Amino acid sequence: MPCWYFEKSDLVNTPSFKDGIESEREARYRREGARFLMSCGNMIGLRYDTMATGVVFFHRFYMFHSFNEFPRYLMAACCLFLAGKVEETPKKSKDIVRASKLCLEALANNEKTSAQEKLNLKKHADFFTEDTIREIMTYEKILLQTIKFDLQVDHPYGYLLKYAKKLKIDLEKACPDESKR
Amino acid sequence: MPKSGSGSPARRADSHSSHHHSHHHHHSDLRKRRDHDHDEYLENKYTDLRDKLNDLRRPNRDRPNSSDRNRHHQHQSKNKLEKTDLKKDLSPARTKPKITDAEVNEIVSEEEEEESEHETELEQKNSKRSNQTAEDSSPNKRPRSRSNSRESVSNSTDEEEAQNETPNNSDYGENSSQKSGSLKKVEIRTRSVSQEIETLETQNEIKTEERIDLDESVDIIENPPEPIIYYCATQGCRSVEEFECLNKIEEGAYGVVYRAKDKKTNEQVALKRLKMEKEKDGFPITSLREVDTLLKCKHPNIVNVREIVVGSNMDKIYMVMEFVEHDLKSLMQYGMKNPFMMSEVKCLMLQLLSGIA
Repeated sequence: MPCWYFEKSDLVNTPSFKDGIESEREARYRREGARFLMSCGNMIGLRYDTMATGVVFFHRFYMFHSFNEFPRYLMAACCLFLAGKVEETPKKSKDIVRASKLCLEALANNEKTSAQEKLNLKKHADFFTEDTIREIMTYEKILLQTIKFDLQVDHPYGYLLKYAKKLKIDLEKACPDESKR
Repeated sequence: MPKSGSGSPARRADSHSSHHHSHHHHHSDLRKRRDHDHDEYLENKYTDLRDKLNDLRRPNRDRPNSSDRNRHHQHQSKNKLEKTDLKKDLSPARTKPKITDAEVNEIVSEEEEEESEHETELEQKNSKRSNQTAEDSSPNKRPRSRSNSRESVSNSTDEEEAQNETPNNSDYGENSSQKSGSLKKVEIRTRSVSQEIETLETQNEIKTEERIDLDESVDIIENPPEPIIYYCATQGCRSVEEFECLNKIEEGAYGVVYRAKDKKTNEQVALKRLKMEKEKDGFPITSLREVDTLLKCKHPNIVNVREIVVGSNMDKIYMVMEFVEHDLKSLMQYGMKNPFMMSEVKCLMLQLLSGIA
């Protein structure tokens, strides 16, 4: 199985960096992609684990490809699509495309985003058309090969919840005074 | 990179063939070509090795994978001990090293812990060679005589060696070259031309095989250099073209299974092509489940899926599984004279249950 731990030097020297994208911009792209994926998943009512898996796929994918090469919002939608299948919460590609478009438009209409950003988001939203479904299928194949069919992603959330519960019990024991907790 | 060694081996081959038999002429061409190939081969190897070393200097994330591969390689070269051995003998002597002595020494010291046996030997031989070019006679006497004695032992078994040793020896002095030259004359007379060509060809095959192997291991260790174009073979799954299909085993609802051979390791594997026809919404979720579950299953009683490879145009997906000689069903149907004994049934049942447990 492929190993997904990266050296520090690899994290700096990503394909995007080699492709002329500075680190800050890449970080922003990753953030935007992940956030978009999350809000998109929320919109179609996917579980948190599914979205987290999608984000992991997204990050892994861009450890091998440049952001210039593959459009990030389309790729994020594709990651979400695959994650849905992997986590046994499949969604139709049609629904994902529709949700993606809505999501991007919502982001573009948000007051917080700058004018330039709005234009950019509108442009991205226009990418999502009926043809996008076929595009997503192609990207899915590339994604599967890039992540070498290593589909199972272990998430820490389950453990976190478990420990949180455990700690809460301990807290009650250790600190009976509720106001000090 | 300057190709300092490319001229001399050809010349050597020429002069060598001129004072021997007439039938020698027509395969001197062949040898020249081979020399040339060899030059290129070595050159590739050096650059590869240097890249590899650079990678090895920093702890790498794909390390276990590569060491595995090396182990494989070692194993393989042991299998072909006879031939690779003699090749190793020749290879350094043929061409001048394209890197400086210091570099070689550096490589040797690092190589010894990390690299496969074969490469270490190659490098060591090279350092020996560079010693010789510095005309340091005493230390290289010993390794030379050692390999000479080995030569005389294996002469009887492999005539190819004698022939190839000659250009080698001309480097080291008139005496030895004449000696083994006369020895070689006798050898050559007894051998038919076709046989010789055959051996040459097999040798060439081995070389190319090894070259591919090296290239591949470097690719795996390295990060994809500059992924402007999408190379699925170097960045993601391997291509199915790295396997040689031998025959179809069976076809069922699940897909078609082929028996195939890994071109690099020569291992037999079973290739199962996933059926993708009823593809409505991208990659079928059933196949996804299958791939995912089987990749996770690592158990002695479960057929191991090693990796996933893709077809040339990315629409065919194959699972690489270990090849199992028999299956229980056909054994029970056709291959049995007597039914299983109680103990055998127990054993099989135990394996079955531990597999699904």
